[in-house]
Amino acid sequence: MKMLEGLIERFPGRETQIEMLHNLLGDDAAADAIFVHGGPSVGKTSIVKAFLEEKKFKHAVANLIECYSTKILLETILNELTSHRIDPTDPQPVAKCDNLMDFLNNLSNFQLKRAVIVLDKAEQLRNMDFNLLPSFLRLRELSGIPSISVILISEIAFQKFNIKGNVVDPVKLPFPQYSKEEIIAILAMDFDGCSKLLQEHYDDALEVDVNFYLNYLNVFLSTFYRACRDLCELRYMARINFVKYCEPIHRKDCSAADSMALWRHIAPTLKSSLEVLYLRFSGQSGALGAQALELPFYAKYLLIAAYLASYNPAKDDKRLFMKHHGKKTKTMKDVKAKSKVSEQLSTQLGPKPFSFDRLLAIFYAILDDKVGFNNNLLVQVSSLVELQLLTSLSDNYNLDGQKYKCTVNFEFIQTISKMVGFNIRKYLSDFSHI
Amino acid sequence: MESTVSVSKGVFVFKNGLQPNKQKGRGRKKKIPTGTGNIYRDEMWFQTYTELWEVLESKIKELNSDMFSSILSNLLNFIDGSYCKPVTEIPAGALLTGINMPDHAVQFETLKSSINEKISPHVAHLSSQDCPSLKNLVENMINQFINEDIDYDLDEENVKSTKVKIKKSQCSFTLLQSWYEDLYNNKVDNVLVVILPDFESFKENVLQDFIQIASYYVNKLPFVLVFGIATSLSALHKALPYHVSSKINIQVFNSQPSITYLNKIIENVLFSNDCPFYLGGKLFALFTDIFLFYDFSVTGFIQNFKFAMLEHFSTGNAKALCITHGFSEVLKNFSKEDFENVRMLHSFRRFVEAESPKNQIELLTDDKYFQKAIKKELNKLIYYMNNLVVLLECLNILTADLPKAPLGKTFREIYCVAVSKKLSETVEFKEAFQLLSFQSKDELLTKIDSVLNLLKNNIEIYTEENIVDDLKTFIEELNNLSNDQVEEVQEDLDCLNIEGTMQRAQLKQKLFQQAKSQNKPMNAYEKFRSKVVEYFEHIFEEYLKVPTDFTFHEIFFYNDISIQNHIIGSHRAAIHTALNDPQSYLDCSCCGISNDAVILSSMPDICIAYKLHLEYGKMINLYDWLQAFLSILDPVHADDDNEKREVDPQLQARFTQSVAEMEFLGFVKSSKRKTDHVSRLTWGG
Amino acid sequence: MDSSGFLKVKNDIKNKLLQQGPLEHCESERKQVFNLLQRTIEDGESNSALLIGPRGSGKTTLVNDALEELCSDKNFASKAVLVHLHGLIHTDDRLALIAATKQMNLDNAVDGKVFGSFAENLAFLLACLRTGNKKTSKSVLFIIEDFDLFCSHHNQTLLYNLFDISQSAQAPICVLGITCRLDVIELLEKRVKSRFSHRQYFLYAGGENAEVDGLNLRMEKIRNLLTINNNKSNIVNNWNKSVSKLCSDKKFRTLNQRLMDIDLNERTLKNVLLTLVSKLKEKSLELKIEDFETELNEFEADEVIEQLHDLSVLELCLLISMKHHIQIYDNQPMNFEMVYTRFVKFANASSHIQNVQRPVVMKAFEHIKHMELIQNITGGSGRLQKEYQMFKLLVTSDQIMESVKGWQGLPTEVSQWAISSLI
Repeated sequence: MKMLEGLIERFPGRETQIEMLHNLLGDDAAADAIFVHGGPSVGKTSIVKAFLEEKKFKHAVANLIECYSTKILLETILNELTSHRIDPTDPQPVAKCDNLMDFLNNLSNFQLKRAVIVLDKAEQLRNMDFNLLPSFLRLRELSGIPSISVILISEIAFQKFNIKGNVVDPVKLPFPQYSKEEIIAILAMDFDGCSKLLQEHYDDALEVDVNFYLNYLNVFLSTFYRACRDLCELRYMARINFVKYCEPIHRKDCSAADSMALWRHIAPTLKSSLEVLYLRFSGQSGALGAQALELPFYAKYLLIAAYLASYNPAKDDKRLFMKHHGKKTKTMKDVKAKSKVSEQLSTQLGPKPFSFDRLLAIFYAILDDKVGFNNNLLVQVSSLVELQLLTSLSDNYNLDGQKYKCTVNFEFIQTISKMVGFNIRKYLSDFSHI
Repeated sequence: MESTVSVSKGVFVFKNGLQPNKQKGRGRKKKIPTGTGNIYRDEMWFQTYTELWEVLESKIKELNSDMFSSILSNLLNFIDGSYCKPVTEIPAGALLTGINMPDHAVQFETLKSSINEKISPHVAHLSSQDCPSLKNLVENMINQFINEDIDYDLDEENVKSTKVKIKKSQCSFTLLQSWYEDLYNNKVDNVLVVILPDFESFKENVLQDFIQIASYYVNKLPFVLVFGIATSLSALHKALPYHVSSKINIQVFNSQPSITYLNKIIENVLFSNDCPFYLGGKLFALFTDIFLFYDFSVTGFIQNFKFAMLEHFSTGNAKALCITHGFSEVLKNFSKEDFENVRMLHSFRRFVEAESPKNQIELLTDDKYFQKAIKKELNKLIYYMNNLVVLLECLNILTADLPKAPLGKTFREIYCVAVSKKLSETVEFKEAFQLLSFQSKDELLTKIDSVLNLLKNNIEIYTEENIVDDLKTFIEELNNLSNDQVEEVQEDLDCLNIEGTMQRAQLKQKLFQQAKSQNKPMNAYEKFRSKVVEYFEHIFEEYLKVPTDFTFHEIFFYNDISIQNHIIGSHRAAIHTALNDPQSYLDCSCCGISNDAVILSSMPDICIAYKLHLEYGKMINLYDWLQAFLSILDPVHADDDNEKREVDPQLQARFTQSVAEMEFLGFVKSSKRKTDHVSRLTWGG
Repeated sequence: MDSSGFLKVKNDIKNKLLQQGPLEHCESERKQVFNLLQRTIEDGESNSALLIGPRGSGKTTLVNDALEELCSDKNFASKAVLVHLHGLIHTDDRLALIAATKQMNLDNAVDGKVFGSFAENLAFLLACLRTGNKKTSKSVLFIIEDFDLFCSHHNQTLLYNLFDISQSAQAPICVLGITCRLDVIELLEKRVKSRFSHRQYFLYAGGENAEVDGLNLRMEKIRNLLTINNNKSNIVNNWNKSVSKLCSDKKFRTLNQRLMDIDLNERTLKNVLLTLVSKLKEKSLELKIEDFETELNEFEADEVIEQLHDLSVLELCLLISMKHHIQIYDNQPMNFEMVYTRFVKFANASSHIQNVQRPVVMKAFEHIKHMELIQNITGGSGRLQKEYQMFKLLVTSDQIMESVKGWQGLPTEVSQWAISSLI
């Protein structure tokens, strides 16, 4: 019981889960297979690990992404169960096992007393050998070792595992998302880290106490909680903004007590940082979009041409790009085009492939100054492909009739065309009729 | 060096094969590549060329290094500090390199080495083509960490432990972990830096898996990732979905835009005093345009410049004089022909005609006399060129920040104008100086100051007036002007502003008249200002001549726009002409053709095959093709048209050969769809 | 009462739940299987049979039970060899053969020898067992678990050979396949099927007459599972009393009926009981009906809805906009662009939802994808941009509405929007 208290201290809001773990694994009569599931950063792995360490159980934790092949997976598990340390000078596993049979044989050879196997990111098991998932769920039965248990950890509901219907249901242990209060409680544990941050930024350590921090957290969550409940993300954001939050105090503009002023000061900052939620970069956010990208003049036009080519039906080209395509009479088509619902707009359905010739034709049509067709232009196309702004669809055999797609989105191309002073909407058949 | 030459060679075989200088040119280019064993090794012009180029190259190198240094230091600090505080996500540096990767390969190398010596011995440099799958990536990385680990201050057994080679197949994260623990006995010490120079070309899922694994070890193994991103951060988020990107903290580093890079190169290298070779306006404009419009590739620019140099020098020993000093030595070893070569220069003609008949004889016959003349003229030119550069820089300082910068913002723009026509006569110049005469006091002051500094740094500027002193006096006067004197004008400017709501243009006009008009008494500052402006105007008037005014300017200025065709080649067209009208390259008497349709048996086989294949559709029946081929090569038998006449094996062999060549050139490819057919890969020639 | 005693009791119960319970209500089948095996051992006649029944119907228990009795015969070892094969472990015939060799402990006999074909190899193994005449030769019992998986092996070589041998009068063997697939016969290739004796025994969860009085049986089982017989301390007595009280309770019966309607499998029952028992506190050592009910509710609860509750409001909004999409264009797939435009329309109209940047929404979208609430149906080409890959919604609109209802502190606008797509 004592250790449970400790764990519950360490992981607020996870009392039930920890107790459940204890009930299921705590004593010698342990459940044979447990399925731990819940969203990202709700403490699945860390709690399970901590619990097993506290209990001093022999256990192996395998991350299924790291162990991408059966061999690696099984050998890693064995290594950890037998606490066999890979020797850098000659890295040999404790026992070679290429398949489950070898694994089970070795397992029985080692006469393990009490062992727990933890498989993290268990959803990956579905893409590995068909027998792994069901076998691990019935490991106790198959291995005949009465005291071995398996814990699967995943972010995905178990019903998505039971594809072939050949798996037995384990005991399920859900880790629900934290409530707002719990999140505050957990973030509060980060207080020391944040005050360190303060000291880094403002060399004179302006002393802030926990309550002050809690107030901040409340303010902070009021903005962020709706958009995001991922603890890690929130912690990251909280850290970044806390420094800014304390800035006025540092500048002696207002006292730590004056929460109203602080709120007024931080509100816009929070709003702006909400815009870059999940994007995880410090430094200038201008770098995100197209404006950061410097392209040669013709490359820009090539890109625009490519965009037009992949988002306009070829039949519209004449109307759009020819100087004198005759008096355009309102056809039924335009009327339909107006009434088009957004889901059928080509800008919604994605790019269509286009031929190299068409690209050039449009390029010359939208480019004002005449430029000879030469290698450097060709090179530009291929370098655009290299930069993943275009993708080439056809093989490299054909010198002509290459097919491409443009893979930049509308905002991107709009900024590009603004740079060269080109009105893209005018040339997109989705908008041109408006 | 090799590369350019081969490029020039590759391009040279094109288009204007019929130009007069062709023979000479092609002959020359053919032989240059083999640096030693090169028959021009002893030619004076070639020596000067190589010397000059070496100077430039070294300068460019050092410029590169200190260009990158600032961002490098930032990166290093970031990497160094990344694990000072407890981390929950992997620190990652996103280095926005700009789009032309070739220019950046060097930077990443320097980055790697400098990390190695400054921060941590553990750096893995992974390029996308080595990592098609997660397995390869992991093995590659760990292999680099463990095996290529250079031992530094470690105690013996650790060093030993790192020295043993590990089989790639054995590389796994667990191995890495225990290796790291051994190395630093379970403390988190030196960071493990992983550099991915070409982020865009990595497979997305590989990256995702890798990052997830790395984050799994974040507390045991201190990873730091460095992404080289060519486009923009959005690429990064394109590749990494939510559950991955939440595992890293990205710090963005912007490297300098390549335009500033180019300007630096131009100003500090190509126009430094020890580079006597200058590009003419047209050519210079061409090169900069190629840079701005096609590829932001500085290396490309430099290669073009180098090519121009080659072209320039290779026209004869006259160009051996293209040096900053020590003409006499060169002239000493000049042979008769060399002098003739010099006399060939166009500008010399004008020079001679200007002279008195007596001198003319001397110049044309007596080399001694001629030598002196040359020296005199050349020195003039040298003076001129130094002044040109320095003064243009001054002018740039004065005019760069004017509204709408009539003379352009950068040095290169001004230079383009200045060398092609007399600057002081251009409209832009006038406009610029009008604007200049509305500068406020301190603006003017700062400008004069910076000009002064510039001049101080370039002592070798030869003018009758000692500009430096003049400017000094100006500054003093300016400082002596008490502010109130300035004020008065200021305020009556203001009232003038208030008096009418007029457009800026009109206002400018008015002010201008006001400034000029003598009837209205100017205050001290205005007087002074107009004085200064006039002074500058005069100076530029005086010294910004056009190079073509000078005799022998051809020696230093190269302005043959015709090389454009070599710089911007177009392969397809070239190959087409080559195959369609072989005479244009071979100059053989036999293959002259009146129009493209004509096919002569005297042509090379491949040409015949090519011209024939132009007449076919998408699919070509080999048999028909062969028949057509034969009918050209021996029309005699072609006449007796019994199908079953057996083909002369030699001819057939030649046919097959040429078809193979066509396939190699990528015009046809054997098709699965129809037997004994090949499919055309190009539209009609 | 002392805690040690309590813990002991608790352990006993849990162990009972975890171990295979004793065999029940399929005496006849057991008999038949037993006889089958015995005939092979005693009079050395070859046999092949299949034991078919749903999971948790006690097939393995049955066989083991039978085998136990056979093994109890002291000179069993001299007469027969037991070979256990498992479809999950021995995933191809090579492994199976190795395992067989091992279990027949003939490794030394085999090693070094090279065999032309699989059949020869197997034949050799059996030959090794044959000593002297028919009477004295050892007979082999092949117990094949998850028999159906062996059918997927490369042209069923192992099965073919085993059955073939069981047909021809070579060494006496008995092949007993255990599977939960009723259609297993269909999986056999013709040549294999023809060599199979078509002897099949069927087991039903809770015996043949489960339909009739399944519930009573179930109650019986529960009682057996929970009651402890070994020691007679007063704790135990209390416990047993409480159990019997529980089982006789009306409500408890109905609850169990509910459970059985969802799932007959014994495993699920055990899981439920196990969790219950492990939750037992020292103070109150008895199963309360309420606990059972809550446990049952939890068991019935829809995991997906739980997942939805873990989403952020932003993510939920995206799901709602998807829901509207599939309702308007009856279940056509959608891509990010469509979802996004719909969402933005809403976000602009509403006051509470801060308008977040497009990439952020993309991240949220990706999160949903990662949780497998939506599935990518664009064929293969990873080249296509994320925005345009087509997805289909794996969540029913009812589930979404359900979670919207049960959501604390959801802005009213959102819940209204969830109800009607009009903004």
